Amino acid sequence: MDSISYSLIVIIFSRVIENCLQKLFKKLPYRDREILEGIGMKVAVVGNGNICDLAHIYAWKSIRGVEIAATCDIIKERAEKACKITNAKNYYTDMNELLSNDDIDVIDLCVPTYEHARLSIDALEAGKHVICEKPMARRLKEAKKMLKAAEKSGKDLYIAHPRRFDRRWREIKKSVSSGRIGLPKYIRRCERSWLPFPSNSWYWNSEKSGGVLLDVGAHCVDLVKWIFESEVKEVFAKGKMIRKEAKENNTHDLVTVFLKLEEETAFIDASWAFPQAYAPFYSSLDIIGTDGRMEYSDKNANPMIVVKDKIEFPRYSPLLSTDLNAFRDEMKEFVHCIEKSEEPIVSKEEAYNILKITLAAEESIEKGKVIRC
Amino acid sequence: MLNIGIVSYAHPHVLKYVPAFLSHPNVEIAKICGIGANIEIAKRDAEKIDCKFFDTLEEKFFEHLDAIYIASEPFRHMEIVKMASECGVHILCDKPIAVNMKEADEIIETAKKGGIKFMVPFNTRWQPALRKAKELIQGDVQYIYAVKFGMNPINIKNFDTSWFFDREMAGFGGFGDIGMHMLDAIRFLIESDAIRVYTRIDKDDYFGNAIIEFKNGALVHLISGWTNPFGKAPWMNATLEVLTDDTAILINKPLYEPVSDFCVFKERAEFSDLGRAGVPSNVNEFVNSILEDRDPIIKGEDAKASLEITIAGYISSKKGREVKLPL
Repeated sequence: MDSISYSLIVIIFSRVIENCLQKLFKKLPYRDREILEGIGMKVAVVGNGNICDLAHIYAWKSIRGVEIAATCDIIKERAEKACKITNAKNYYTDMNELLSNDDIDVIDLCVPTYEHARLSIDALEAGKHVICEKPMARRLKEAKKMLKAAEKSGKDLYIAHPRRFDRRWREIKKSVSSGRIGLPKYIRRCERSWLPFPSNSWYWNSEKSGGVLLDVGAHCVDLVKWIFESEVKEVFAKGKMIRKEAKENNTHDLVTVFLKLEEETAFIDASWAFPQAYAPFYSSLDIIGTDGRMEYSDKNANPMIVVKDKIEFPRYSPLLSTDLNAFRDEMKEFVHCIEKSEEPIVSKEEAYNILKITLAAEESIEKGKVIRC
Repeated sequence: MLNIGIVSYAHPHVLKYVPAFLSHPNVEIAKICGIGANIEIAKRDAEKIDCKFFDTLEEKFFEHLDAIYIASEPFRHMEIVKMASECGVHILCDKPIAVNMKEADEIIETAKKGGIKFMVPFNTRWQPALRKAKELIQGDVQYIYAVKFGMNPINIKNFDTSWFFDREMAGFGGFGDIGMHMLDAIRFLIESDAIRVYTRIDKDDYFGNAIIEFKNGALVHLISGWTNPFGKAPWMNATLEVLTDDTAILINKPLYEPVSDFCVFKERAEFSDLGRAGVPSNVNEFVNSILEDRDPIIKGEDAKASLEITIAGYISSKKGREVKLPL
């Protein structure tokens, strides 16, 4: 028996077992059911920098049925290193070459924001499913083209908004939905950090990244929309350039954004300008309802205090704003949706709306006016 | 020895100020006027302290008084200040200074003409954490995130607080009532004037939040209101986070309780409020400004500036756009 028929038999056999198991244990715990998913699916991770390193590789490795078949980065060393870590078959430095590989089912894009649209569209047109990091794109026009490309190709496009998979925000959302604090009226989401990249990095280039507003603010907009479950009507925002890198590049490193929803108000406080040692206090979430308040903060939940001649708060989680397992659950959700042709928790249309609101905040900062959505 | 008169028991702050005056070595409470809400409590206190009691505010009340403390409903401030100024009596007037800008201007003008000391007490000014922050800040303040939440006045037992919910009498609801304290602290830290305000206040004026831009570029987000109405939550919640070019300063609740609350854990958590140090400090400052014949630290103009930001906030929330200052 040659190896192709062998692997075919294995795949068919495992599908049969999967179906039997699903029928037998319809009420299997969530996680156990998930393990059976994604069998035989081949993923290529494109862009092997930070988010790939810290989160996506971990996520893919924890889904048993999925294989990381290739890595790809314009920097050869990075692609090679990621390839080694993941035991992928190949690594590429040119995505077009990767796209001509018929073995690959899914392209996972961990590339800079300004490349999201171009590479997503290329991959969709090559007949691949696409998972693309948030924000959906730098410009709304680009995002629209992405939606069209997905429609035309008949392939799936998923934008990764991992907050919705983080158990902390899930619990808070559940609690709010259950009416624990009455009707939620106000949410404040704060995410602050010290962007650790040099002045010439694409993050500091507003044209490429959208600054802290698009990079971090998009997460916050997502969280607010999700928890309130209502539409944003008006946006008002202010931006500041505090760090040397921000001033050099004319890019905001602190933004404050008001969102007016149907009845509710949301406030977003996002910054790259908080000193490095501030890191343990990265994020907080406050909700005020008609019948009580809710507070969440890393500074309550996550501090480690080291006392020497000075008091220090060492950061012990590389991704304090998102639980690492959120990425795993997010990828599981996408794998599930690809297999069953279902809509994910954050649809591409919802991702488009999140981008639209975030860019309205950018417009508000530019014009100094309230922007109606 | 200064003879002090207490005017009105409408505002619950009076329950903190009367003991502070009583324990001050250079002060005697000589008269109490019960005008406004809680007149019965005022009368009982006058009997306890053994001082003269007045049902209404008349000229005779001001005779032989050096100074008064006003804890009336804010809409009465104007009238009381006028009478006191004419009699040459110094004034410690609880916040807000007035219910609108016109009256605030008139109050400041009247007090000036009368040649009296006029002070509005803001407790936050005296908190050690705030003073330490002020000392630590070098260079410009870039950003401040400030929260102040208070107990909903409706929850104050055995005390008539119904006027808090009457805009004519109180001037504002939760956003203004609580936020004004923090605005004073913010102005103290930033040392600049507000130039733009954008605010969203919930429709019951239970709480609100504002983005305030200052002349020196500082950006402030303030959220305040009566959002501590339930259970055994601490009376006050306060957060002040300051970002300068290279420093972040985070102050949590001790801003208001320098001797921090303690908590007993049994079937449920029981908090103990150990009082606020700001009240005696305000009394001290007021008394010393009279004895040393100098301006008090918190002048009418300061109270007016915080009032102006607050009023601009209400206009902004109503119109749904940013409002420029001065009004």
